[in-house]
Amino acid sequence: MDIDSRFKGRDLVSILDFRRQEIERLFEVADEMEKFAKSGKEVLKDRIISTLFFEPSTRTRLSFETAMIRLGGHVIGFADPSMSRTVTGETLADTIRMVDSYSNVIVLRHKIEGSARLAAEIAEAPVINAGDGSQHHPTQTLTDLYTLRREFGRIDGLKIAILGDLRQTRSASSLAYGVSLFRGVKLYLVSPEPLRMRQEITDHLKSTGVEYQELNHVEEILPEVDALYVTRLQKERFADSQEYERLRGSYFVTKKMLERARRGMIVMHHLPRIDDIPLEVDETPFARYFQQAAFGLPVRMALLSLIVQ
Amino acid sequence: MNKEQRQTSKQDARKTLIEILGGKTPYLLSILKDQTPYVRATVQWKDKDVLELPEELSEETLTKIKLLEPRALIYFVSEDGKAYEKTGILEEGKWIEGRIIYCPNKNCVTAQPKEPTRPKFKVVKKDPLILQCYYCGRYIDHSAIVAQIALL
Repeated sequence: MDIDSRFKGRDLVSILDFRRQEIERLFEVADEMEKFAKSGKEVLKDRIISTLFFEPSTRTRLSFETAMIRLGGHVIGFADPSMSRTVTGETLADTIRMVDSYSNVIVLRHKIEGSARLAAEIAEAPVINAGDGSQHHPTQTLTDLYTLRREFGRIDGLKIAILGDLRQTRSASSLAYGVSLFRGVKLYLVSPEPLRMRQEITDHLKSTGVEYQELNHVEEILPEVDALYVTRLQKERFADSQEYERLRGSYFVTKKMLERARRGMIVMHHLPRIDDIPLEVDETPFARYFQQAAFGLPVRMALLSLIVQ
Repeated sequence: MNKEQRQTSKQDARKTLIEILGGKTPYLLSILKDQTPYVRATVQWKDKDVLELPEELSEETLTKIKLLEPRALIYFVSEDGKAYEKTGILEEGKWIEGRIIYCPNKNCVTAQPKEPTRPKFKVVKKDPLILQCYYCGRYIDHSAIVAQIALL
């Protein structure tokens, strides 16, 4: 079976659903798609994507919808759960069953962990996880890995620091899973103690041979790393608002701190940013987060074109 | 348990013997509450109990016992009077499915009462026991599992 055929009809719930070879093929297609990001390429003419966003989104939802439109398809769905019947008690399962009958592909974001996995079990159409609780965000990870590849020409052997709320940020856990598909990556997991990465993820890193180190402060490793991935402290993930207030502002990156970074290092962020990266960093040669967000469009165009063949 | 104790007579045919740490026996009796009138507990060593039941146990009950105490030894006594250890109940990489235990993560889809999910857990590690929820990916450690079984 040729590699492109392997994507047809596939669900994407976790980045680990794809093998390295498949991710690399997807990146090749994303390279081609970048040319059509503004003009379009009608490979999915008249196909329909359902975007079901039970949690807020700017970049993910808009880039999926733009991707589908650029590929010649159409978009249905909602960006606000109050627009769906789940507010009157309809289950997610029933919503998926209904939407499945209308769509060629379903993109789902939900605060409940495992929701995308349940949706994938129910739907015949492929389901793409746009983020489930604190667990997975595979298309963000594809975008992040694509950014690294575009910047450095490779992912193997990179030294990457992930800073912030590693316990609850799905982009962070997803990225950790994603780099485990490559060789020789070293991770620096930098966070306040209460926000350390969950054991199931660090166990996965150990079992896949990813070298990692847990630290409290980012300054000490700035001269070492190729990429610094900053995460936002997400108030919506804290059951205890007092804990959020205690930890708020406990980590951040400044222009002054970046004087210690080595030349060629890049700063990434899954956005939106709040206190974590001030505007002054935007002007530095390290800032890549806006370009990173822009890459989300060709990456999602590539993904949709491969899955919805 | 020594060889003589394992070599039981034909009168003891089709029984189950469970060797468990003494501290866990009250929880085990809770799991076996439908059979407890027939359970004969014998203190063999200072820290272990041996329970005898006059029947085979279901796969679900065997799984609950091993979740409670992974080091428990379970023997099935056949008609020929020989005791065979029941193995393979809880092996690393094996999946446990069904409503035997539940995921303690309140944000897991399996914790939403109306969603059609069937709990499923992978045995990540046997000793100390760690399970991983198929849906939310969270680890469940042994103390959380024992706490659930203790409430049965």
